Amino acid sequence: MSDNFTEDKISNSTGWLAKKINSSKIIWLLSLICVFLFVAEFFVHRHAEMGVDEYIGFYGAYGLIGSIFLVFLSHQIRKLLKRPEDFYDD
Amino acid sequence: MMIDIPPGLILILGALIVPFLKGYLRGVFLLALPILSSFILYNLPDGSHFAITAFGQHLELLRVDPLSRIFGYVFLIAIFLGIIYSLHLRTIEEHLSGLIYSGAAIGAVFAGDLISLFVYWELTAISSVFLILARRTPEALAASMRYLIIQVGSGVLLLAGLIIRWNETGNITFDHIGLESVGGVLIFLAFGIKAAFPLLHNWLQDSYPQATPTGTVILSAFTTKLAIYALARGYAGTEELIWIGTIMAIFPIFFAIIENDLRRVLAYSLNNQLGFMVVGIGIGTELALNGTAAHAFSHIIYKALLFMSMGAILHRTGTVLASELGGLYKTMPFTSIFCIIGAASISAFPLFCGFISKSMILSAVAYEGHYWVWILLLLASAGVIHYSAIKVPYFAFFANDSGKRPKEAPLNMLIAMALASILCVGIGVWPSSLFYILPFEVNYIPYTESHILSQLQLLFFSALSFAVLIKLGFYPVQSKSTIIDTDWIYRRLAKAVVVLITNVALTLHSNLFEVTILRARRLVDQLYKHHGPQGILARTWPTGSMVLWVAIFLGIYLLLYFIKNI
Repeated sequence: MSDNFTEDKISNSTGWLAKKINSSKIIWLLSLICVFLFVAEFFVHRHAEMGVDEYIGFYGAYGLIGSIFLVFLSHQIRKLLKRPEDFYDD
Repeated sequence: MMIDIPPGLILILGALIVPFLKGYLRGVFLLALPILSSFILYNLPDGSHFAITAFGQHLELLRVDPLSRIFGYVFLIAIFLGIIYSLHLRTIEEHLSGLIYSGAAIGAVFAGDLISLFVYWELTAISSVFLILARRTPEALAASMRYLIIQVGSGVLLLAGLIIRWNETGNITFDHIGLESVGGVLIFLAFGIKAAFPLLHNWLQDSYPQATPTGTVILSAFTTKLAIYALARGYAGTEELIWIGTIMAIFPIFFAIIENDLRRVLAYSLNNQLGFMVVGIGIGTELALNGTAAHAFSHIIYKALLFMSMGAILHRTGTVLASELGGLYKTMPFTSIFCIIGAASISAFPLFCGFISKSMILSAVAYEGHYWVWILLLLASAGVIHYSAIKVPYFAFFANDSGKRPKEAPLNMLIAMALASILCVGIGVWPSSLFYILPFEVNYIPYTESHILSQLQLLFFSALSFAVLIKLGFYPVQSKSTIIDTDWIYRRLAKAVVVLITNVALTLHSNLFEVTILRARRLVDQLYKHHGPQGILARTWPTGSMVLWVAIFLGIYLLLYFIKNI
């Protein structure tokens, strides 16, 4: 298999996310929940534990950016550590 | 009194009777053992109950206190679930191995001194290896031998540490140890191997995915959590653990994102969850230690649940490679639901058990003001959602349809998964049930508006990023491959070094041998030439030869004398 960035399991699939519930719909639904959670922050009494979490939207932004960072770093690590399936077979 | 039998010993002795039972009777007997054991543990008051004198030392085989009690309970729950999950098996080796292994782990938890701890510590290593061997593949055989070497190695370090400590202090009680002495450091390393500290971790990801479907479920519960218990007992408040734990919580994430074998993904996420517990031990406050015990408790249940769901897939389809699976929700709906419950628990979704226990550790870190540790653990929490909570159910049950239409998991597996799911939700909804058995008094409220909201934000924004990355094709493609980890050091580098040394030695040996033979032959030839039947020296009388040699030695002597006096 190629290590290609753009090779996508979804685009040419006939699966659940692709057919029954379209993957864009899932993204819209998740976005809607995220917007709701962001707005909810203005109505809930927040008490910060660490200082930095006083900022509005800290947890959401950190979750979003943090996980994108982790996935992109994983790509780089994979280039370094990926070997053929039978690497340890002799 | 019957009550004073150590709970672990019941499982070990019970295992000896199992081979004589058949059919339903065996099943009932297997399930009765952990129930009987729990009953005895429940009725044991705190204190030391079973002591013997050996090696001139007082050995405490049954010391019960709140810290050991909670681990005892959860180990009994784990083996009970494990037995239900494996009831369909016709062979008994996994049942025997599982019973002795869990009995040894429970025995170790109630060991009041380091010698009894050592005996049980090694017994867990030796008894558990059969869960890997039972897979009967060449890969499993090789992995089980690597596992055994490393596990027994941990025991040898523990033995060395305890002997040094015994010598230094004359005391082998298993209480706070600390890193002040050499013995303490060795014992720390022994615990660290079993707890899968960074760079000592790889036995875990190497061996667990090679075990049988049922074997991995049982393996996932005991060894590492026994080490967590031992660290909490001996090294609470050791600051080094805070950073060791933080690194442990972060680095497995990268491997879990790129790994294709879903049981290995779970092994990496097991490692990451241990990181949270190790941080809690390093912080060492009452809240942190409560958090560690609570997290170990919920972790054993949801991790077993996740391994059960993957084991059911392996049992039905013969593979757990993400690249081979997809669309299984159609024929395995119950397994899918149970897997998602496990996933919600590990990602600390409110109303699931992980939320309660992980919150306690994170709050303890925040209260003690470890800013960067807190930030990094929060990143690790976001990562869990990606690789463990979404990736595992997504690639197994949804993603693109693999065309596989396996039957739903066997009934006994479904029952085990259902019970584990009930526990996950039960603890999440009624945290006071778990708080009741924690080692210290609890003054912690997990469900505050603020806390629920921040956790939901973290979860849903991370989930959104997963969906977007998959949609855009930026998520690492799951393909058949080997991802090398530190096992490369002993499976490749060390092997290469050994081969190199062997080759050099062989070359040297053969060269030396040839040269020596050649020299010896020449010597013999020379001797033959001069002393043989035709030799010059053979023609004269031996006295003549002797006179010649005397003259030569005299000459050499004179020469040396002359050189010396220059």
